[in-house]
Amino acid sequence: MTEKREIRIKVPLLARVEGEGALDLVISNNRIETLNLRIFEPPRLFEKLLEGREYQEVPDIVARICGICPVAYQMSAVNALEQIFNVQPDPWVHAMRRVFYCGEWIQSHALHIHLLAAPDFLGFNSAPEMAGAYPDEVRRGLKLQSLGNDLIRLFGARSVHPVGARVGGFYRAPDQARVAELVSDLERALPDAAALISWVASLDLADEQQNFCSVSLRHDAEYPIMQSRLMSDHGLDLAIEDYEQKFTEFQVPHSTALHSSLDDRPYLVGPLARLNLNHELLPEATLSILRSTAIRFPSKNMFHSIVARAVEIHFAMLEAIRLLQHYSLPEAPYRDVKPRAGIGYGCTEAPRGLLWHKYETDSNGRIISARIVPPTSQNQARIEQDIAASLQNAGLDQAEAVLRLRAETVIRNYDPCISCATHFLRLKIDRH
Amino acid sequence: MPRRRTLPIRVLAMGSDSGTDRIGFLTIHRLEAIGFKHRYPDNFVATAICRSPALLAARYAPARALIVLDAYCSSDPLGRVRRLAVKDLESKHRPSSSHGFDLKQALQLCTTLEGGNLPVSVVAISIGAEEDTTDTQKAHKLLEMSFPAVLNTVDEDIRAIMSSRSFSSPI
Repeated sequence: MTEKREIRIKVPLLARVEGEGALDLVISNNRIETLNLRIFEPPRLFEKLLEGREYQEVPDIVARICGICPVAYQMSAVNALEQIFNVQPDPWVHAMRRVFYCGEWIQSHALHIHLLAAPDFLGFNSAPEMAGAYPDEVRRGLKLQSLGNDLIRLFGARSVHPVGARVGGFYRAPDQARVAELVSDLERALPDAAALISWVASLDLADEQQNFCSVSLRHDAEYPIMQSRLMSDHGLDLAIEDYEQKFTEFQVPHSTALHSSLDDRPYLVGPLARLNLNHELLPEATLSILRSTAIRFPSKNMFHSIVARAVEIHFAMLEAIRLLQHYSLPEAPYRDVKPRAGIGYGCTEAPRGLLWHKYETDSNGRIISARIVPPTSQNQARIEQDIAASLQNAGLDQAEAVLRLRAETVIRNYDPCISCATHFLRLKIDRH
Repeated sequence: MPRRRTLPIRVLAMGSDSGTDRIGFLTIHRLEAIGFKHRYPDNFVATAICRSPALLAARYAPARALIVLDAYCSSDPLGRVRRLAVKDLESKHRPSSSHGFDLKQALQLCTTLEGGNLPVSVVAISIGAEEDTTDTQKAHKLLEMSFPAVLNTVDEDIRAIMSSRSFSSPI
């Protein structure tokens, strides 16, 4: 008779992720009995905090939700509010918002690749440890991260919780000399971004194919960053206003962050999903570097997310250069806004994936209600599904330390932002 | 290392804009207001604020040396100033906005990338057992209590570097 083997793995505090989460895993007789990505960070109640606020305050309040992706929160919010107020930002604002957002992709992806994810794939416990063996690669990553921060600072005055965005545009336009300087910096750093793609594509990434549904924005003519339509590789084609018809958020007992499902099933958002659905919209310069590697998109290997991030850094740098190289000062960096009552929707591609906002305002533009669906809560169910599949692929009979590391690597591969994700469902009490 | 000798000593305030955690920012603003860096040769000292450890290595290293001003939680009297060794740093709470990449790791990364040759001093100001975000004046009171000691400590560190001695509490 085979001896029954029970493994209990508890990772009480996940390292190298934003916020407070844990993993509880019980394997009994070579079968996963319990697998909970437990998010216990208290909810931050931002949606409630927004109620009663003036519309002008919203971009600065939502920027505080995350120090790594504040631009995404600001851009989803201003898009939603402009929809309510029937404001069409002029082409200058649209282009500069895209540059602003490129800065966030560059800094967030460079940070994740070098300080959070790469140590897992190279067998180190931390970035400082990895930097001892790979100092040039880490320096290169920090340089790219810094360039992303510079782009955010160009429009936001500072790179953490920037304050330059407003409904209708920006508070001020950057001066031409500073823009020209940054374009030169970006051009000089392009070979670094190209080398980064080759480097991450050469990492020893597990060859693991999984079935999952990729969801992202999709635009006919450009790689998606803001607005447009929601698409999936399972036939979804949806206006962002109709998000609630197909996507469901629900509470699970082990998490203060809501889970999300699409047609009752987990789905993936983020750089891999974006690349899976939009790779042909990348510029030829980026595609040709990608073709020189052994990695192909669309990909069903979740570990190719790190390659997708590197590819998006290269794209974002090219895009910022393209949009800034003929930069001129606008007559005004914003359109005037006349508030009115209504409901509006904003959806943009945060570094970690879809960030959907919905606001209702009164006739003075004061917020009546707000709903924010961040990417990490959308990915939570998918992360649990991925851990189960990945551990089974690795072999549940492996040593606990191996299984623990594998599970943590899978989680970190999503770059989860737990602080962004913590929400509670609205509590409804019926008293009889 | 000749290259490093041309770089400034960076005095960096870590923290946020809220509660007693902003003591580092208030301190750096006071240092700037009194023209602190003009006490030293031109471009010898640079001051900055840093809102996230994740930015530290990307933006502020390399340098001739790093002097970090930050709040610390302990049972020490409020406003007490200590030099902390990097190895002794720990996060009482997970730092927000940093993706779990805390000050200790950021400073270790900076020194690793400088081949272990980057002098680092952490000048820490006691804010009591817990951060206080309710009393909006408390950080200002802490500044008045701690500033003379901070000024002396930072000056001592800079003069140690000027005379090529290492800090009293290196990593």
